[in-house]
Amino acid sequence: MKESDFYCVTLLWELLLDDSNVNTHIAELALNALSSILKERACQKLKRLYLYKCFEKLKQHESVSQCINLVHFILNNAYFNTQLDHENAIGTILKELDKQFSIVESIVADMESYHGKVKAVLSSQKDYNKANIALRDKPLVGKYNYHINFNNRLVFLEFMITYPYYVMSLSEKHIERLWHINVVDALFDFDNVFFLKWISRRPGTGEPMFVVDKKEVPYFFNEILCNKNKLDYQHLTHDGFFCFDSYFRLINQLDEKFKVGKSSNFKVVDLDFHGKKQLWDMFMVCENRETLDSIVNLIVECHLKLDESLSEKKTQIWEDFTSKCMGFLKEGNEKKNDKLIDRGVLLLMRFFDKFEGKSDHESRAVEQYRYMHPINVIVILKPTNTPKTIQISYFQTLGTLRKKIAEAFGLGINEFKLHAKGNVIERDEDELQINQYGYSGPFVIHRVQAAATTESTSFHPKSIVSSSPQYIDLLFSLLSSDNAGTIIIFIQKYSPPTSL
Amino acid sequence: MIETVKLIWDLLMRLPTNINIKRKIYQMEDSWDKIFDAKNIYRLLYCLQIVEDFAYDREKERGK
Repeated sequence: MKESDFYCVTLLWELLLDDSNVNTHIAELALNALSSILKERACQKLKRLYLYKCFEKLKQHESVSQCINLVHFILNNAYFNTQLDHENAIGTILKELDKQFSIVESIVADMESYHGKVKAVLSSQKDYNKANIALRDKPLVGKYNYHINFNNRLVFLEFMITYPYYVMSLSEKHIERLWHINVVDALFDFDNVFFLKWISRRPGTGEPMFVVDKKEVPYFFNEILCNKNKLDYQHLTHDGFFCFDSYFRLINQLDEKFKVGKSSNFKVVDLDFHGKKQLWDMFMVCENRETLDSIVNLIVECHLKLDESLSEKKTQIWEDFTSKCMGFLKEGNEKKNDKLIDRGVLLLMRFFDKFEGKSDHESRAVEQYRYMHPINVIVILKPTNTPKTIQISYFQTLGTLRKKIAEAFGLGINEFKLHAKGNVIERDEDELQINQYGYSGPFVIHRVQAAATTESTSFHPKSIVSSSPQYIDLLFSLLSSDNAGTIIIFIQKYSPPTSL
Repeated sequence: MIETVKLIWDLLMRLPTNINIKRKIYQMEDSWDKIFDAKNIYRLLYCLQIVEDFAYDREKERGK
């Protein structure tokens, strides 16, 4: 099979390359035309030839964006997505190409090459700064815009490492190199955000998906995400923390330190879990308020969501946690460090909120829909068969439903178990919206006597603070630093102390 | 500073009433100046709230 047996094919190939004399539009037309021709059955052997040509270009770091598109098109249109070992199966051709070109290494090396070339171009641009997103829409190197080049490469790499019927994965070195060009030395802030989302947990229909292979997770987590030189804790973004959080849950699940359930909710099995120190380090230094909020949530969850095997230690864990928070206030008072005091209070307040079953997720994202699609839900208290009708929005969560049930029946939130469809609705499902849960009643509740006498009534972390003269004196000492000015604010809108 | 003070006050308001302070107010065994310490205006306000609470629900509190 000779390429010259086909009219125009060579011409179209030459037109789409970066060094052709045509503009991007014409090059794009040539790429589309070539793709259409290669789709034809008569071109079966030519397709293979062009796959090789594209990978040679990838190796040479030339015209890569176009070649990636062509490879994608050929693989998806001329080969079969099958597990069978067939000459026209995607897995078979990928195996052959991988042997010849070391696909993952070639893509990563090309990303580095492209990064270096663009960096050199940007160094001479007067209007360059990492936030200047307009530059991403310019063809800085080659015929295509920077953002097309950037996205195409990541999408292509993802296709290769997630293809189920021929296994390729990122090695430690690949992860390190990708992290360097996209996070440590990212050319644009947007690249950083995009890459962090790319490498983080993705929700799927089944288990969440990760682009980092399980065997590389310990390296990625311990050497990169737990390394302050590689992940800037002080300026940690929401996406940076989400990435840490994703692998924090995964590595602890893999090492059986966490039990991870639906929606990535977890229960702590082993208190000596991975990333504990780093989580506290982030808490101390992070300056991004939104990120700090997420850090605080995760720290609190790690102290509240405890597995049954730790039930005997629960009270001690909560006492220690409360003492630690008050320790921040004490240290902040001694060192006149408002930041430390603020963080200590934030942590303690969030701990109380979550201990009382208040959902942070509820208050922010869902509450705006509280009046939309109201439905009447029937709840039956067993064994007396006492029914109550509760009004709730279809978009509110099971946690809100639980709270409304508690109010309607005059029970504590931990004093009953909520059942639906014959199963207990666990507390870690509370963030699911009613519409996501896919069931609107009737719900059944059973009183649980044991819970009423343990966590919810006899112990509350608030009591540890309020019953300690040292802690109360500390709070008044902190307040006394502002003994003159702001009292009027409180006189106008104070509320009386609560009682347990 | 104002924000920090507000946070701490909010925290204090979320806590159950400190039983020692409450007892001192109810028993009135110390001097008035010692119980209602005007040097710390927040402590004074806290104590006054306990008094207010007592005043509004005197019968209930006496029964305790």
